[in-house]
Amino acid sequence: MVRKSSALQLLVTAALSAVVTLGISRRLFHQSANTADVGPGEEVFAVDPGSVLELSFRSDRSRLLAFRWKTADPFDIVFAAADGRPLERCIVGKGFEEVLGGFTTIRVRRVLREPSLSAAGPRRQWAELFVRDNTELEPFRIELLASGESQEILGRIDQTIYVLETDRRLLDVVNAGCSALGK
Amino acid sequence: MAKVIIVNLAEQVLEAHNGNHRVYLFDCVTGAEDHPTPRGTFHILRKQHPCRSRTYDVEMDYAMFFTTRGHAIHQYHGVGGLGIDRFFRQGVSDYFGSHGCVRLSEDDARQLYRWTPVTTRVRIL
Repeated sequence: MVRKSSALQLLVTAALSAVVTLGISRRLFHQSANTADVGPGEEVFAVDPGSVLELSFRSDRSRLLAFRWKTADPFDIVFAAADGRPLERCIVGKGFEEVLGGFTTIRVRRVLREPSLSAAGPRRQWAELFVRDNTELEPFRIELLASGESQEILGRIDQTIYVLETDRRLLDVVNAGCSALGK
Repeated sequence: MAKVIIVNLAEQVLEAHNGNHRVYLFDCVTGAEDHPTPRGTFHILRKQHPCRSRTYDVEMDYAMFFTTRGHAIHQYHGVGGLGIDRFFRQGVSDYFGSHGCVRLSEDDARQLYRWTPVTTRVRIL
């Protein structure tokens, strides 16, 4: 009876150890393979544009800040360009609505692999996009770059670079300022 | 047809319906006794993948947030997988569980994330 009990204890201990080992190795494997799990067409970020309180975009060419205190309010938009133009306050138009729509659903075309990373260029050329919604969650942050070699937009989140489905024209609209955002 | 996600806290299962048709039935693990998953009707407010909670310093990939306080349906990343987590939650005590989120296995979380658009209704029963 004592032997049987010891054997059972051993068996249970071995089974639990196996489960934990399996779990740890699965976790390690998972962490290294995780970025590959973002497939074509997958949303890295999506939020209802109607719930956005703040959208800010900054690059070496321009700054855009669109904000409102409540979702029922219209956006106030401020735009500044690095080329010396005076600060602009924009009226919300079709151009801004396109930017808001495009930056609140961000889909991936593919993950950029090591050999292609040279296309990413120096870090200072990347623009920063923040989107804050009406939740208590941290704002979404992504870095964006219009790739010089293709017509694609690259997105960097943490250490991973993605080729995005986002329309490259949106960056032109942002950089043009109120003349395009207010249309 | 309207999509809806139903989480049954007593059974620890999640169902996804498209109109009258049940598309998915997944095992899940919900909030522990001291951090219960809130009951009621909600909507998917935000989707994010990959996703990491800085508040709890944990991964929560395939996250679909349904409350403004941060409750989400997401992948479980814990050691041993969802099966072990579920065993303790159901077989031992509801002391075990999440901080209010709905945990799914990786495959299930991925399928649900791809199926679910923002604003989809979520019912927690």
